[in-house]
Amino acid sequence: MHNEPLESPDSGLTGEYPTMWDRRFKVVTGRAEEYPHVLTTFRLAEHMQAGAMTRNLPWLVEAHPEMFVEISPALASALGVNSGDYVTVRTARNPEGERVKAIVTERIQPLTVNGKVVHEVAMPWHWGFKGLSTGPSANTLTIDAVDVSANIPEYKVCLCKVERAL
Amino acid sequence: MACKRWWDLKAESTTLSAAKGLEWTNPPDLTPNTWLFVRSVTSGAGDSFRWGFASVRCMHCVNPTCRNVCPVGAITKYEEGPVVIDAEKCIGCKYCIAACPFGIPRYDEARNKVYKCPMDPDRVKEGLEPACVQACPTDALEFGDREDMLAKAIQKRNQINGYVYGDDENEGTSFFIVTDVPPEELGYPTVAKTQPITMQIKDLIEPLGGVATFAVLGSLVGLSYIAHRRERVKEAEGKGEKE
Repeated sequence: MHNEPLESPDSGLTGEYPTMWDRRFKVVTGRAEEYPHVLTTFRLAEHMQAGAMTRNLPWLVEAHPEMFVEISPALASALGVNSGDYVTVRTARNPEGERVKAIVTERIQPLTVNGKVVHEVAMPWHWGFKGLSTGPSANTLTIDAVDVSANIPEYKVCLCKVERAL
Repeated sequence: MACKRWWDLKAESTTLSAAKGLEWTNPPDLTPNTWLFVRSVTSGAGDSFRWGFASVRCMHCVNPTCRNVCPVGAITKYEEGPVVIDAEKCIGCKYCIAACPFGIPRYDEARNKVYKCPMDPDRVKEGLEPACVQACPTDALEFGDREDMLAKAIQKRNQINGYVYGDDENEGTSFFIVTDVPPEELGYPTVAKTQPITMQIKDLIEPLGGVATFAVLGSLVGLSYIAHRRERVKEAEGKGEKE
């Protein structure tokens, strides 16, 4: 029993596995042609939620001092990016994008969706503009389509475009 | 982190390292204020992807090389196991740093002292486990009698067909690491099973120091006697002439 995310890299899938979102809320969505990569968000052990508390504790900031995005080696070589370089991640909600440091890792592997290779990138969502450690917030990029029953926004996954930044 | 909390050590100012594979290793190394860190090591890709973690800290050797070379006897190996540097006695000479085959102690320029993991002797004496062991949420760290832990390590090693590190390095340590890949792959240094010195240098220096001082003073007295001999001879001759 699967419901495809509102922004999907393959528009055919949304027909087959309809998204159960609350249509009363206006949501800005982008097309897969414009935003060909998939963005997913994840948590770190040392930081919590938007990091308002944890990003002020020196021992926790020591472990994770900066915001980052994890990208696969395949996408990294396609973009000409190494670990430590900055990339810009854009979505339909934030076309200007966020400039984030990239970590190139084999933890991220490209997806194959209906025979097509789709690159995925992963961002922790614990950063914000205030605190001992500051950084771009992942939630300027994520989609706020809301689940029909639970009212939970679909922060976990959306479409994006990742490019090398200066 | 639990270690820093127990000992009230300040946090390091770190950055997201660009060194490939080490981005998640923060703090990146031991310092006078970081007595334990976990090195994150990734290898392989796809189905063979492995994410290993190496806990790095003092091995609390059975016959600590650091203690053997300390010229002031600031390092003690306690019966319960901990190898502890007494900060009050430490003179910051860094002999222990040069001697440690695992490369553990770190020198603090501001305080002119050397620091390393002390295996929380205050906790261990009360029958508690060190702060790090208590904090570990996956029970990856275990604390107990050396024989029990060694037996457990060997059993686990056989179970996963892996390796034990620390059982006989440097004549034996008190920190055993069981891994499924060679320990060198996780960054643990290859260390000889024997030590070049197995006595405490201070026990050699102190008596030698006494002998050397006596010898120097004695020779000074002797030299002074010889140097003044001419005067004495002259005096005697002078006295003789006068007569």
